Amino acid sequence: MQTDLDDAEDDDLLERMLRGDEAALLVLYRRRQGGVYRFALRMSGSEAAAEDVTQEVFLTLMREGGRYDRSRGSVATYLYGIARNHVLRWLDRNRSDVPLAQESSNACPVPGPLIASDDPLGAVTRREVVEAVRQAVLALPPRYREVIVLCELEEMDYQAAADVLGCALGTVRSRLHRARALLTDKLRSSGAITGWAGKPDAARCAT
Amino acid sequence: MISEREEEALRSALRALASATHEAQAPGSVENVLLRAYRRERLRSRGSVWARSLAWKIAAAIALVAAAVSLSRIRPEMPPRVSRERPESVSPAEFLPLPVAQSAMPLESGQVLRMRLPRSALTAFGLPVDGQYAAPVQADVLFGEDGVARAIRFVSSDTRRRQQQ
Repeated sequence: MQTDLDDAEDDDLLERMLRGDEAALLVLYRRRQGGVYRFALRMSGSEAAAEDVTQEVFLTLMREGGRYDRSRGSVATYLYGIARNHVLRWLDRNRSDVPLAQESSNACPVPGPLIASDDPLGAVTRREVVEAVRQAVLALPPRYREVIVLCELEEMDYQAAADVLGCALGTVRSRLHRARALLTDKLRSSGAITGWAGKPDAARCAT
Repeated sequence: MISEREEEALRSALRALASATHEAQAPGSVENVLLRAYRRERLRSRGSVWARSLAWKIAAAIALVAAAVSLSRIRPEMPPRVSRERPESVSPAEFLPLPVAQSAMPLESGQVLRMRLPRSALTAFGLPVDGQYAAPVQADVLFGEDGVARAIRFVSSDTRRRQQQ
């Protein structure tokens, strides 16, 4: 039974969940919570907010999952859409509290210039680069931040991102283009991306 | 304007950030909260279904009782239900009382039904049986309001002929 559910499509799981199948809820939750949580975390910069949003997304799914329309996208994009609404509401409420530092214990202050090319690429430097980029993403206006989070960090295709954002494919492309330009400006001004070109592996290893 | 070098640097930086948070998951407490909420919601919806079903049953029962009461009120005005074969007039003298009738409620009104009975029923009432015929005999049975059979009258072929005329 559990194996059947593990192999089931999200749509089937949702249908079963709405009919009262608790196991289907668990499989769907465990399959999709990570993406929803990371989206909320990367958008808000707050673990507490990401936790609240994840909880709210699935509570909303329990209450209003019957409204899901597969012709408008997958269950995953439906969940991201709900998460987006909750995150935007959270950002609106906390507009004055612009997140500047990560809440987690591995937080580190915004670094100074990061010139990594001749650097021995110590763990500290890598963390600093990641933190600099994270801060730059969080400093973007929400409409640009969300396309960066969905397309660059979650590696969602443009059409799925358009489904989540409820906009046209062209809008996603143009916002992404603008978002990259803004991000580059921010990182250029801090010197954080200088010398990173051609060292993707080092960046991927960052923890 | 973004140079190719900067663009590549940006991609690398974003990959680094994605990788750094790739394993992030909601804490287990969220799953527990959701499961509790789901069970609560299911109980609530089951309760409301049960309540709706009970309400319908009560409404149906009330409607039945109301119909029965109104039927019992109009009953005296209704024409007596008669079968097509029922004789137009019944002479009480021709009916033989049945033993159960003595302990039953006094008869105020009743209904006569014509039935086919085995010929041996005649002997039970001390009537002569014509052994030549194995066919069943016809009888008019008088039922009281309480549904108890009170009396019986065997219908001879003469009686039938008389009724047909």
